[in-house]
Amino acid sequence: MIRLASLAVVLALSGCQRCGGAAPKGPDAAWLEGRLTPETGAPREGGTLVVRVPIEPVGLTRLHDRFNEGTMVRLTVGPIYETLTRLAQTWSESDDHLTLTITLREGVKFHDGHVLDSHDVKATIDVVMNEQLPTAGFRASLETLSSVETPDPRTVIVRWSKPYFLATHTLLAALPVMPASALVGDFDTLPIHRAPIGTGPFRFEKWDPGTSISLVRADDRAHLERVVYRFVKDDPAAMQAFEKGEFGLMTRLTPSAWRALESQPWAWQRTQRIAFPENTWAWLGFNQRKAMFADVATRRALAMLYPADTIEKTVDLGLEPRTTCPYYPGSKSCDPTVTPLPFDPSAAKRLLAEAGWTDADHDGVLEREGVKFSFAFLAAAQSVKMTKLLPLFLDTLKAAGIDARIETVDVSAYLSRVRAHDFDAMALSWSSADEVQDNFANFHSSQAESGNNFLGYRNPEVDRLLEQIRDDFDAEHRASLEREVHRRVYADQAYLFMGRRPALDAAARSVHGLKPSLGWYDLSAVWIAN
Amino acid sequence: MRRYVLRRLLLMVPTFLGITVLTFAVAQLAPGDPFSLETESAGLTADALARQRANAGLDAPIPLQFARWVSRVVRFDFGRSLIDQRPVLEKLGEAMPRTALVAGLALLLGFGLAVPLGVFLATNARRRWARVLEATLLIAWSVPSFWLAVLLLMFFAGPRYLDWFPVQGLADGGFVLPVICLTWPTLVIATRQVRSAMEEALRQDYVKAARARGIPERRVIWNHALRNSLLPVVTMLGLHLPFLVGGSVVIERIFGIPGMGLLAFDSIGTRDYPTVMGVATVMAVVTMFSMLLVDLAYGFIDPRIRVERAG
Repeated sequence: MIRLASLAVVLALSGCQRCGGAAPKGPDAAWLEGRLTPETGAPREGGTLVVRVPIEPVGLTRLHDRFNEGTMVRLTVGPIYETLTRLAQTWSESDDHLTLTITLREGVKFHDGHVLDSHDVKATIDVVMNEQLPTAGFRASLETLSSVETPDPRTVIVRWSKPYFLATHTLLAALPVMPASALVGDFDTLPIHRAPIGTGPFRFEKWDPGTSISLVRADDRAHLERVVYRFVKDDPAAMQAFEKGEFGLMTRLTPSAWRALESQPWAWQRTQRIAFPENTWAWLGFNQRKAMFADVATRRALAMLYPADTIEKTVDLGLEPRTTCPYYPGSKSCDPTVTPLPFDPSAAKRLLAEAGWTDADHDGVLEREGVKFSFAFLAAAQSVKMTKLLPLFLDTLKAAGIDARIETVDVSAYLSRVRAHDFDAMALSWSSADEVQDNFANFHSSQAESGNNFLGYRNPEVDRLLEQIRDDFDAEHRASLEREVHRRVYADQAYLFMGRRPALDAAARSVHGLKPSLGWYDLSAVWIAN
Repeated sequence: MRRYVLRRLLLMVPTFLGITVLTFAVAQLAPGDPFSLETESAGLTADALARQRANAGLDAPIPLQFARWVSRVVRFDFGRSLIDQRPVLEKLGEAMPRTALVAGLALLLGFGLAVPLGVFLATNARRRWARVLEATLLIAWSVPSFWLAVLLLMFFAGPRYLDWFPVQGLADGGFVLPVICLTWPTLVIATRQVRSAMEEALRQDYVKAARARGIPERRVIWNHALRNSLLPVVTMLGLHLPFLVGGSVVIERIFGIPGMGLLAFDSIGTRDYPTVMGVATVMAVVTMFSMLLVDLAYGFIDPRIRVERAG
């Protein structure tokens, strides 16, 4: 026992020795807000940036439906793969928006040494458009593509069957161009899925499964010699490694980890915090196929029972501002005059009464036409946020005479049931790596049966607006239509909009050139000081 | 003996089939499938997902899917993961050595320390130090391994204290802390098992007879009593081996070891049926062989069992 006590003293003393020295006064405003300070000094060449990534990607090709998720896209598109916006010297669209002509830059080489030409672009598009392949996710944005011609090695002519504003944008800004020779064979097991070959500033080096992926500098476009993505699932362990200096960049901090840094003097001294907006918005939803949730008044009452302020403070730790808009925040697509419904249980009760909900049998639970207002929230067991949020919401629902309970299932079962519309209420978030987006799949009534309109939302006027938006190439006018969609969708409470979590990252102070954007960081601009 | 081993090996075939049938059925009956996890995007309609399920053979009746799986496994082909499309054998080949290293060391240390500790406790039951040790073991038993892991990380790998080991992975001595975490519960259980078996053995007549014959106490304890106390310990060792080889999800997650535990956990969560079946197969084989080894070890420890089998 005495020895154990001695060990504890030794450890404590050792700890004090390590963290000795004058304590800094505290973090400055830029650090607290997650703002990067302006860069000074010339970039230094060389060095390795180690990036903490919480979840290992399952593949490195965004074309494949199974691999296509946000983290993987950020790790590959930009550093390894380039899109046509970079690979094209020029592009032009016909007046009727039915023909796109792309002229490729000369002398661009893939990392395997062969020169990029129009056949590589066509081969990549052909893979996406092949209905037999699991590329449906990407294909959806290019469904109006009718043909691709390659009259010479530097020219690609794309023809569309009808105009669609997002098609050209997706083709140019999102399609990672791959070498045609690497796309031959069984698509599911192509080596390029795990060993990408692109034209970007970094070349894939190796993938050590379960541990890391590393990239090396391909040419003088990059300052860093190497980028290593290290997979660390456990947040506290990742934070220990960060404190030890094993990571140059920590991605996707949880709000609690972000806040925890604020009480750590080492963090003020040795790190910079980076908060930047993402095009991600979270929502709760009620299955509008069920009579209980079919009317707008009931849904608005539910929104007024959502304790937004409490949740923002206690669950989101003040880091997830509330939203009402299904488009990128602050963009012209959102109407700034739309304000969130207030948390107002009294007004909600009046609204419920007007919608026909009464407690005729005085059992504490409302009923309408003989049906009790009783339902289950389907929640994914892995969602930490929902385990904190739903009990708070359920309390206010119960006080208003609504009997709601939580049904927790694992994420696979959760998504299966959501797709089968086998739920009363659910939660999800939509995310896009792009500011330009099309909400047709989320809100159009044609998508209620087998599309992403999981809640079965139907509004003929919103349908008409969404259809107009698809054909509108005038960005200003399209934004005005999108603002109308915003107003109507929020008035209908198609979703109970929650908040927008910004990306919360932290980097060592020695890491420079970090310029966050929706497409993450341009790693070619990043450098490490001595 | 040869006939006995042959009979046991043959009995493994129906046992193995039973285990795999059960695992396959349970995996398939769980709601959801590998394709339900794909990113929500406009093009992933029900039709597109149905086509992917059909391509993976998941639209076939479950008995037919099982028959296909068995026909592949007998050719030592475990198929490809439905998630990352890699050969399941390759994934098992990566995870197994990591878990085997950590589990093997934990097993060696756990049982290696448990025997002298258990003997010490049994032979010094009335001494104060033995009682302190006993109480310490009881307290240790109640320490959750994840908490111990976090404490070890903080004190021995964190930058504020000793900083002797890496935070993640097995390289550069990184295996030490996870081995300690896995050894801990093994050591406590095994020590208590050895102690009670030794106490029982020390009460037997043959021990009294050995002492009466003037055999030195050390030989009485280590040669006579301990050998007869080892049967329950060996049984426990056999049962413990598959448990450790299965990997500890919590320990592997905290220390960043992509071993069998994490592989099993992730593949169950993503409904990656071929990988789930691959892990289950390895576990079934390890369990069956460890039980066989335990039975064979009985014969070496206690000749009476060998005679009965021969008879």
